Amino acid sequence: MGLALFLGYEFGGSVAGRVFLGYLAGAASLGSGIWLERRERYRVYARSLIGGGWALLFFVTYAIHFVAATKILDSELADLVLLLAVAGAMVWHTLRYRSQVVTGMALLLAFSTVAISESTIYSLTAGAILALSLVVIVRRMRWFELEIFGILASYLNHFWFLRPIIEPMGTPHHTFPEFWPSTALLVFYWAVFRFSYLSRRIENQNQERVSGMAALLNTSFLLALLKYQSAHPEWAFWALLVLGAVEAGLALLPETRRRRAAFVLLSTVGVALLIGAFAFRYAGQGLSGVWLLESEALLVTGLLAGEIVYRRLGIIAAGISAAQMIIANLGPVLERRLGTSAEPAREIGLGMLFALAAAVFYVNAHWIRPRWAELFESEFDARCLQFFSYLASGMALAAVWLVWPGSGTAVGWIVLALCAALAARWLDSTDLANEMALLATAAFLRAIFVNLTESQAFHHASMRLWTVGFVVAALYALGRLGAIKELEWTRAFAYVFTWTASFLAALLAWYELSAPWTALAWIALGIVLAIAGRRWSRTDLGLEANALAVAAFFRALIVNLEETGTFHHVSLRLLTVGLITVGLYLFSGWGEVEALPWTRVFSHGFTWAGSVLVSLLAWDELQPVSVALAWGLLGVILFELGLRLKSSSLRFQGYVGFGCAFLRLFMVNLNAAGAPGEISPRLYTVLPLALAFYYAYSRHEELKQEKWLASDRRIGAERYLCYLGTITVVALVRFELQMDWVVAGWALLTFLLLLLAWKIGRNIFLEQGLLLSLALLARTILHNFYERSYFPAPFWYKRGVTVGAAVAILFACVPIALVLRDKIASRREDLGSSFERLLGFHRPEQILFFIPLGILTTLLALDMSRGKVTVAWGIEGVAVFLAALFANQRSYRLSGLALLLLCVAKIIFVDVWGLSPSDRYLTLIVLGCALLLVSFLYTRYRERLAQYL
Amino acid sequence: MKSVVAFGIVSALLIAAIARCEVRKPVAPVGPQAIVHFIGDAEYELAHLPMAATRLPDDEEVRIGDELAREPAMYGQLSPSDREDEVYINSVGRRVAANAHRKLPYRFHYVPSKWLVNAYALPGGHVFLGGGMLHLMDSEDELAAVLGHEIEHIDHYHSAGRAQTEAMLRHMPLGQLVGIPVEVFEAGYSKDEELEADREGAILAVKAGYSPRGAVRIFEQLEKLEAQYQRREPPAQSAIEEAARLPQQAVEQYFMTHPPASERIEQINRLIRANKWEQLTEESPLRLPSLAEQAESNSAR
Repeated sequence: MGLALFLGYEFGGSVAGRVFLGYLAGAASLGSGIWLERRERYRVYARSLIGGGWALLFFVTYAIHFVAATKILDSELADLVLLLAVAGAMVWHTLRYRSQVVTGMALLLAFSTVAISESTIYSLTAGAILALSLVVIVRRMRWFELEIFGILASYLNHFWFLRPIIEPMGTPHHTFPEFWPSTALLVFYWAVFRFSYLSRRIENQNQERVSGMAALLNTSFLLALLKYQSAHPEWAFWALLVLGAVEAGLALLPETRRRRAAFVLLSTVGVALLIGAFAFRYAGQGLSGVWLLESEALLVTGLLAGEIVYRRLGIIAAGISAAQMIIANLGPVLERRLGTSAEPAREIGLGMLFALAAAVFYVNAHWIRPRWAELFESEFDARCLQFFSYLASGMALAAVWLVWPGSGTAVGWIVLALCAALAARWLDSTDLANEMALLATAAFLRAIFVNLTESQAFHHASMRLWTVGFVVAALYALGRLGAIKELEWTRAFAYVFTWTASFLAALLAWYELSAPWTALAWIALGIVLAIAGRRWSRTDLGLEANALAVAAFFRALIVNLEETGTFHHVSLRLLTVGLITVGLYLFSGWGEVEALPWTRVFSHGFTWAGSVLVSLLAWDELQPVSVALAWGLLGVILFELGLRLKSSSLRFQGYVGFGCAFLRLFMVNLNAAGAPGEISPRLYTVLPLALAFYYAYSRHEELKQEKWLASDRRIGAERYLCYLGTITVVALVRFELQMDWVVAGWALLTFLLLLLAWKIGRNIFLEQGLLLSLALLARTILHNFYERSYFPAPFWYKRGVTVGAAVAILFACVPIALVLRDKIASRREDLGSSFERLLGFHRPEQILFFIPLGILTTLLALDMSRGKVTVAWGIEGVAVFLAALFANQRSYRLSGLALLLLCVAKIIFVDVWGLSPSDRYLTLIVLGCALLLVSFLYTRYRERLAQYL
Repeated sequence: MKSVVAFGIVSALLIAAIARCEVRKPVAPVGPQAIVHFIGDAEYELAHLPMAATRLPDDEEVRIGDELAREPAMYGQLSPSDREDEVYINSVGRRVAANAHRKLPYRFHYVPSKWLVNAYALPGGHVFLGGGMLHLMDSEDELAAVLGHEIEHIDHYHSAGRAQTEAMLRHMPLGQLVGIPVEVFEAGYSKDEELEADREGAILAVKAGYSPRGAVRIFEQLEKLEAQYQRREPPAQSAIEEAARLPQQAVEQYFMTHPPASERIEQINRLIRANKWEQLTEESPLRLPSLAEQAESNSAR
């Protein structure tokens, strides 16, 4: 290379001398190489000298005409002949060694010499000759690797030539004088190497691979350099089209078809060029359309010709055209629509294109594939055509979106889903079933995010109602159509569709209706779904119905109960919550899903929910004092229904209602004192409730033999109800009567309770009477006996009157207690619990005698003056003793005697020391009389009394 | 069949009661008043026995009361006209106390602060009346009612009981109760004790020749003040809100010392009806010397 540069440099010597020196150096290098090559040790070195020598000889021959500094030959033709001669000699000589390295080295040096020379277009003909020589060598020696080197060298030399011309132009390029020769030379290179590729005989796979690479490089470099020197971009289409057609045509030559690899390669290159060509002529939808047609044409060609290459090229082309449509056509529309809030324009043309693509892909996937199944047996082909089905759905999805933007999209998508479902059923296609699911999901999401916010009116209703309503209906239809018999797993889709439909319907109601009506719509839909679920034995519908009812309940709880508006002069809260409650009670009959036994809990749950709503509604709508009454009424109704329907759930709701009403009494009703002169609200609001409690208790008693009431008995419902009634009345007395008269009221109540226990034979009333008498005792001691005022009270508030009345009533209880005692004694099994024994339940006459006796004794001590106390106690003792004789009660008699003894002791130890004379006489006289009477009686009835005492 | 009839009757009664309530709309405060009152009542009654068992002798109570009343902060600065007013208050007080059950040396002090809208009693017979309270009155009968109320706190051992409670809480012997701050007695007593003092104080005033209307009118004045200073809570808007308020209301009402003025007025009116005092309506004007001086200076101007 140094010598070559030296020859090109005008250093002042003669031209002939330089040429001579060049040839001399070349010959020296060649000669020394030939000489050294005989020795094994220097063989590699020698072959380099041989290659370099031939290269130098080739260049000097080239330079004698083409390089100005060494030009000694004017005839270009003569120089070309010489060059061919040198090249021929070089090839002849190097071939002697059968070394690709030596020959390659020679050619490398030859190409390099051409490259570094300051050449014109014509000087490149040397390169063309070299390329030709190389092809000859490659064919003869089958040194196919060498051809790659030749292709690289030829095209790079050409690039090296073009570079000084093209680079200064900048962009765009313009035509230049050497354009056509350069083009011709490039085409020549391509033709030479393509000829080499087509005409060779291949012996193994490696040769085929190397040849294929050379063939690809040939076309690639040609296209690259044509592009580089291009001054007319508009010709690119034709260039590629022609080249593509030629390559594809070459692939069809009999010679080529014998070599499968060459056929595949050239067909692929040709088709690629044909596809690529249209990108230089068409754009946008046109390009997509052309590519789509081209892909389909290839596929059909492949089908008709039975040639897999064309089919696969068709598949790939279809993929490319789909990508082009999505990226280049759909992308900008998407960007535009996302970037503006204005009403999007309809893209009908593009939509039609996508629809066409969808149709084409569906046909490929679902008609061509099964029709020519034997042609698509490979995994790749099958997968590709399966993918076409999904691609088709995607295209259809996009087509709908393009043509019907806004509210129509979801409707279009759900229609597609319906079509997919029908097609999936018809064809038993898993892919179509999947696509149906995807399309339905897209429609559902679109409806949620777009249609639900659409408030535009359409035919007297909102567009939202029309479109989302349609989507909902379609989703329910998919719930039926989506489950394909042959594809068991698609049943899950059907369930999901009905769930989404119900969810969407609930949302639609939420958007479409004003706040108070939403829950009503939900419960109505729930009822419809529950009936449908039962009709078609669909568990999913049943569960959705339950979910809707639960949602309706909570919404009513949170929203409707807060509503203060009216509807045709009726409270909206009353109207809506009332209807929802009715709905919940109705729903309880259908809440259970037959296939899922655990859903029975819903049936009960909804009656509970209904009862909660009614209770809260009563709280909101009624006066505070009416609320407990309303709850009590609800409790009675639920309890009675529970008995009639044998529903423990309803009965338990009744108990809870009673409990709430009872507690509410203490929060409101017992505070309602009322105005002077009118019937106390306490009275007329508390008494009916007490009656309600007693009514429920009596119903329990009536049915106590029924086995189905065992659960109620386990929780002690009877006792609970009876105690609610009694405590209510006791509390009413406590708050309604004057503070000092409460004990008398309680005493009367005790009497009535004992009377009840006696007349109707229910011992619980005796138990309550005893408890009340104990409470009465405590109250008397703590309240009535306490001196509340230092001033004399009016007659009706005097302690003697109020407590005396209580004592009298309690003593009136004693005969009844005696009867009850006998009854209890005759039925020893009724003795009751240890608590009742502790109360003295089995001996009620003792409690009911000693309580008033103790109170009376204390009262006498408090209210009488000092001396009169003894008299009073004496009279009391006698009276008690006489009564004891009548009642035949030993304990009473002993009490009477004890009182008399107390009097005697008091007289002896207290009275006689401190009484005034008059009191003292009176006391002694009365006491003496009493003792005489007792002594007489004792003497008269000594035997009988001995029995009693 | 019987059960159907019974069901019908019970339901009809309940519906009728609801209908009547909806028509008449009876006023019923929503809250735990009934239960709190019941508990407070029971607690008060239960406390009687231990209090009575550990009660101070009267002379000891008077000594402690005298010691407490000597605290310099108790009186404030009395001007000559305030002293004249105090003399007048003492004259009314002694007239009312003449019928008290316990015969103690009752003394009445005037605290001339217009911010003290209160009166309070110390054990042993010392009664203090604030200037703010005095300015609410325009009749001697009102003054008699207030003083009667305070006398009855002493008469019924409420103030002595408070001193006993404090001694127990502070682990102090009963004889050393002079260290108790006066605020303990200013704070008021339990609701039942206050109602008891109202009732007995009114009787005391009537027995001294005053009209029970004085008690009603002074409580009406206090009711107006209540309305001004107390935040009237709006009715609950939901059942949950009502339920949430219950604990707070229960605690507030349990610890509330003075009962609402409306309840106190109602009690006095009941007393008037029970004792047939309806005709005792004539009230004497308040003859405070300071007021007379003020009236004179106004007429001179």
